[in-house]
Amino acid sequence: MSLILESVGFGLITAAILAISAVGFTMQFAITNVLNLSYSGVMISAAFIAYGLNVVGLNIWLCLVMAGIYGAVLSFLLNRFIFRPFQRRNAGAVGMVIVTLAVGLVLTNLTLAFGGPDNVSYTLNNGPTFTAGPFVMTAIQLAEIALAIVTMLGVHALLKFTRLGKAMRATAANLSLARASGIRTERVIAITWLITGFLCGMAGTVFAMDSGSFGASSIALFLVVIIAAAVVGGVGRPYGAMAGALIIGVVMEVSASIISADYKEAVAFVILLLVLALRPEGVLVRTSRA
Amino acid sequence: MSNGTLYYLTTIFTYAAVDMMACLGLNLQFGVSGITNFGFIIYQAVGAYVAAVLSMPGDAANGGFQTYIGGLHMPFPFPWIGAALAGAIIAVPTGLVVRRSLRPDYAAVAMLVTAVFLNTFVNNFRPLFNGAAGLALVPAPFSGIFNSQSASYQVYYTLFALFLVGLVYLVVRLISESPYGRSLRAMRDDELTAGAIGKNTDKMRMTILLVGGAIGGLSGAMLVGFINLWAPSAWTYPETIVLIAAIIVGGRGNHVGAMFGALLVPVGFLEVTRYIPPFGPPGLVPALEWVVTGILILAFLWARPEGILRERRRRLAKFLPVQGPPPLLGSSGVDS
Amino acid sequence: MKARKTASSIGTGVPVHGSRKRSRVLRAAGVGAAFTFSLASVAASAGASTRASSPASSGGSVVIADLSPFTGPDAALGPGYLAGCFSASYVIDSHGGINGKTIQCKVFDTRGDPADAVPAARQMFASTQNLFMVVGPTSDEASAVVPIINAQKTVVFSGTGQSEFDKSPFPYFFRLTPPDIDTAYAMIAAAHFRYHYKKVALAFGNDIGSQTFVSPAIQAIKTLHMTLASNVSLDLTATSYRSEVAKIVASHPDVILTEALGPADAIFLSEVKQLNGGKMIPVLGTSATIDPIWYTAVAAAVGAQTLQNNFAAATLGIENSGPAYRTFAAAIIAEKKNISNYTKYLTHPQTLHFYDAVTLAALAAVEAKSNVSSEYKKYIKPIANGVPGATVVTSFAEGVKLIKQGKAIRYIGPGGPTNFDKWNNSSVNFQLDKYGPGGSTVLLGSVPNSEIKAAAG
Repeated sequence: MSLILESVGFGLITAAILAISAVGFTMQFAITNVLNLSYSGVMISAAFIAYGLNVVGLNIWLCLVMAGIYGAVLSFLLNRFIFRPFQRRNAGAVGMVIVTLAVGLVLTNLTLAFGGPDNVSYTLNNGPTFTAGPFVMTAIQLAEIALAIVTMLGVHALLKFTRLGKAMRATAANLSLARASGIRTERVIAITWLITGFLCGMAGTVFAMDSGSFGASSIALFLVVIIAAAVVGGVGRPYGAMAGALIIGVVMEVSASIISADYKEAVAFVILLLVLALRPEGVLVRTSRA
Repeated sequence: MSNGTLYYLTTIFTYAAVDMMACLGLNLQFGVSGITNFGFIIYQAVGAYVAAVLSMPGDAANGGFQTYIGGLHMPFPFPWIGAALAGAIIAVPTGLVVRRSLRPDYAAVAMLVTAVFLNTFVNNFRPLFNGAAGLALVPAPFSGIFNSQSASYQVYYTLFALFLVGLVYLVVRLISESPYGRSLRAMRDDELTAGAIGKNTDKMRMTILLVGGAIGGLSGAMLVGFINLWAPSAWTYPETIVLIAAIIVGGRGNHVGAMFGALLVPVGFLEVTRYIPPFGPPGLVPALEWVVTGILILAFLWARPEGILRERRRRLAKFLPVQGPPPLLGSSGVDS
Repeated sequence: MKARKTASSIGTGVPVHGSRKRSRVLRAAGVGAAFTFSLASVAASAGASTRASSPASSGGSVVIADLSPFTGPDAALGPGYLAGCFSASYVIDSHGGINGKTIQCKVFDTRGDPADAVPAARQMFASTQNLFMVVGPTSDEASAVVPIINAQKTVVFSGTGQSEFDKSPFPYFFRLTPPDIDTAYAMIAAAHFRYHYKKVALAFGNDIGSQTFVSPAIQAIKTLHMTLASNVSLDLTATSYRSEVAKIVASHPDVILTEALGPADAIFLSEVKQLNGGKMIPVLGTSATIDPIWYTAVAAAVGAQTLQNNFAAATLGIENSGPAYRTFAAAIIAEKKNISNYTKYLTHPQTLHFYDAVTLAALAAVEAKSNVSSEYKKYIKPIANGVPGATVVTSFAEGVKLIKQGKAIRYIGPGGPTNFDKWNNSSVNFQLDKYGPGGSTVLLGSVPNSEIKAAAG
């Protein structure tokens, strides 16, 4: 039983990483209606940028910020020069999936080409291990959870209390109406890509921090887990993504301790497929708006 | 020509046949009928596994190092027929995923996820198909009678594979040039209207999934009969991306284009890189291969989305406008 | 971008019969492309990938192909074998070559997956006219490529420990690496007899090469009356193993046996340390874990000192002193421009054993006065196992001198004596290694055959 409780603790750590990732992913969908499958490519390249800086001595938290900035700039450029032009060409929903898939392929393999085939680790001090009942966590892991909470609060504050946030919500809800009511939607969209790109870069670094050793191919399956978290909560809904991250993270780790841990990711995949098959608008949405 | 060169050519042409057949199946589903099946590799994988376990002896044989279901030791052609059937059968649940009421981009991602999920599951659940190790020592067709490593056997195998591709091409062509094919293209271009004028799009979709699934399954049987080994590492989801790239480059909706794309991308492009002397750190060349594949996809989608060989434009009657190729990979009816 | 035809362009379409002719032409073009490609591939076969090791010689050269993974999770294996080829070729080329021909070591990357390995093997045969032997195939691809190599009547020394090859029906197949069963017995024997551990946890990767250790290990644990504390398999694509680690830590093992390549062992062991309150549990690895790439990743993840203090591996016995070894070491150093990280390969078990493999084959070819596999193959076993009255030699130069005098020889290289059984598998001695400062390998002692037999039961 205590093993299961311990797994809940692990689930919280996974949920923290998922939360930061899924919120960015889902907000990109909200604002552009595109399932951005290149999200993991940006994440892992950011993780390697952070590694490059970390190797020359920069503190890991500063590297995190730099990776975030890299993610912001890259995501903005990707939207400006690839996604938006294709959307203007009327690529269609499926066309955009292929486009983002191709971009992700390029990014991940460029990371592999430049980062090299070997697996690397960040130089960081894991800090003391804390034990509270059945939960066992290192200081770094607690910091990751704290970072996730701060990020969630930040996103919440942005969306609820700022004019930019209101403009983002309006643009996501109805683009033409938002434009008609005077919101400069082009600017809002650009800023959204910057913000979500920053989240993406941070998420990639946190993902790599949490993994004792990582390489360019480590992120491959994680993208699907991010999509699962986003879909469970309802794609396009930031709060849904946060809740979805918690659900998927905990379920994955608890299932790993009950059934064989080999199927940990498979559990997330099955949840995603079930939600898509039975309730694609998300399980946390009250009314189904088809 | 030397023996070695002959063997290499038979390998290239057999792999080409397998890829061409798979692309024909995928093109029928995606190019002609507009079904966003990004998990097509599943059919090939299932076909290969079923062909393997139908033709292999029981799992206590050969030292008993492998664990798998089946092991019925059936002679050719039953394993291949079984493979095609299995491909068709597994297409049925995938039909649930790509159903009409699910947004096509959700459906596309769901199919990719299904492919990833099945790969993970088979990889870890050893009793099914021997897990990560895969199935080895798969007998080639008629291996009891002929020496499957001899040059003449290899040549006959390749010719037979190409012959089967020809048959599949004729079947696919028959489907898409018939009035039924017209309905399929109508479903692809504007499903709402097609449904409104009385076409049963759900039934058409399931039919095409079954046919495409059978084609994919047969291609898997052809491959496993040749390399005599099949493991999860051979069908990870990037393999489907390669097939999609082939269709985008070669020509979506055009069957010759699909085959041409199969020759260009998986065979031509990926094989040519085998000749590039390895430079830089190990793994640089394969990584760059994928980078170029991604750029190729983007370039074609931008500059020539219909592919090198565009879909034939059809004249329905002298007075009606010409049906051209569809818009840039979209199914209409979905706001973007 | 061509605009789509609209309703206003009535009657301006291309006539149907014209497009049918066009598609026939295009079909021909497609086939033509295939033909052109195949011609090009034959022509290009002259320019296949190469990393030539020796200077051009007027006698011409033969090729030794390293057919193994250089990319993918098992990417560490290929370079290890290649280093064996380079070092052996250095020694052989400086003493007259193989019947006057120098050696070229060529890489054929199988990418660790059978569907890529088969074309790689086929291309190897197509593009190499003077193929002397093949080294390398690993568990990832051996079942697919060994039949091909055998059908082409080429000598192959393989690095797979798979049990399928314990009684291999392939006369051209030779194996100097021990079956994985024996490695598992050796690990358990070391745990029991040397360290007196009682509770054993197993954590092996879920791929072909690593899962084969599990059943023999469990069997040996039972035979020696030890306890199996827990057994988890590590999915090589996962990025954290916390739940698996929690299970292991909760079972309080004395030692963890592991082999999980790629980033897996690095991640796994760092989490063991974390969840065990910052303290590492002793770890026993296989010969694949004595490898510079494995060391770099794991040391970065758990800390070099921790790794050095808590880890040992049961690996192929090798010598690290004596005349045979000195020849080998000098050759590695001489080839350092071709071997990255060359210092790490000075004690790499696979490198030494493949150095022996190449030397054995070369000596057999000198004896047969031919570089053709079908002609020299029959001399490999007598030179390796020795015949009564044979003189022991420890290097290629010595062997060639005695062969020219008509004497019988037995080659014993830095990998130790070879004993091929009737299936061309050689039983090996096992030794226990640990890592020293900077990732160098330190010999702890041997694992006596009697202990291994006891573990096998």
